[in-house]
Amino acid sequence: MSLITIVYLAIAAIVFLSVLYNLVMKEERVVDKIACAMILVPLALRLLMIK
Amino acid sequence: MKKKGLVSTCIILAVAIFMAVFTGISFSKKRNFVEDVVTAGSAVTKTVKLSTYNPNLAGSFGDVDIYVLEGAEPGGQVLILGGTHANEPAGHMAAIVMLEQFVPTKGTVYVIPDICKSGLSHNDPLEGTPQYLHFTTAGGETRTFHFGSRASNPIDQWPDPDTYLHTSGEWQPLNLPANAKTTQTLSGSEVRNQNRCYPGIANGTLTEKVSYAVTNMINTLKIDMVIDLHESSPEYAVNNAIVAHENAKEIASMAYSLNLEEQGMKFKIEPSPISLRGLTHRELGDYTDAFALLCEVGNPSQGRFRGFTDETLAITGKDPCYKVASEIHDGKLLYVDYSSGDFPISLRVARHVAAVAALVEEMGFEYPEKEILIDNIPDVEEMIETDDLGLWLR
Repeated sequence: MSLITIVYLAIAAIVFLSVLYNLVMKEERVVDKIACAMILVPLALRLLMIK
Repeated sequence: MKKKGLVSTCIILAVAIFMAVFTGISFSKKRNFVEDVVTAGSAVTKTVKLSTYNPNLAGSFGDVDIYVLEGAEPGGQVLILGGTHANEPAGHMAAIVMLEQFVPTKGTVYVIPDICKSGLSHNDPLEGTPQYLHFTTAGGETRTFHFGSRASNPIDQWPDPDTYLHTSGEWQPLNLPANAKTTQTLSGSEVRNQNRCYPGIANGTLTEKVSYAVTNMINTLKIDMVIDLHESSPEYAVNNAIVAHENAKEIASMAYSLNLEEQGMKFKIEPSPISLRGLTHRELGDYTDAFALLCEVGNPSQGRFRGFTDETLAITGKDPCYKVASEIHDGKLLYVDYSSGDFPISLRVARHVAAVAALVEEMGFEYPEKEILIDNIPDVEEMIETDDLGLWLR
């Protein structure tokens, strides 16, 4: 795995954690929570290097 | 933690986790699915790993098998590449049919049906493309093959650069035209396009490593001809065509006029553009002494005019939107004859088989020392009439 891939994975991990924090701690409207969840799915698949 | 909306948060998170697991299993299965290429009973005399020609590939996802079909008598050598673009299934399937059916009696046939295995390991869900194709053999067995993506899997090389700068790496040209460029810039995602990465770089990206191995294999084994099998959307001008490097244009022209036209098969003979870098028909002609050729056939499941996209469309090529497109503007929207309303994979594979047989035969006619004789070439007319590709698989 190249250095740039590791950097990008780190960025993806930070975005994933930020969105998860927003979903759990901040968002109050259901539609906003759903939007957060939809962002998390592809980020999780990329972090696990599945897709 | 805030208290308001905790229940809805938990439900939404649970649904997201379920979606991630469900899709993750599907993508993971696709990534790891191994096609059952049948060599038992075929003329395959041995298999060699592609990493033999680039050790940097060893153990990687691009280290595919080279199927070697050796005739009893020495003669010429041809390399057949399938699966360069994994969303062009006739190229992949034609290579599999050839390695399972061809029986060379003179010379050697090398077949790599999954040259971009990384591309076969994923598909383009947003294009609605299927993950697999299924065919039933004459014995009633269902065989499953990949339907992939045009480009290598980002899992294998990511991120893409903003701009892909193509270079020829350490290679020194053997037959480069005087006015040709040797570098080129393309959209960043093209860095994962197998057919923009030739002649390849030994320690580059996975896609470049694979291309390097192919170029090195041709030079090491002194292979006489390389044929890359593709498909293209019906509205693309280079269609139902043989694209030939300058060194192979006579063979392509004569193979068409003396053989394919006689069989009633229309092909256009296209010259390989000298400034379009990275493609097999360009680089493998410039950086090796092989006759470099690429075959294209129309594939409605690729085009932008297509309607509902699924496995049936990829196999039958039957699409009402293309039928309409063929009937308006005097049929000038398309570069294939779509008047029948379909373009089945049996026909598309048959065209590839016919083209390969004609090109190999013509090389032997023009260069007797490079003659390759092949028995058990599938009857192209029968293949088209039966319209069932499974009958031509072992």
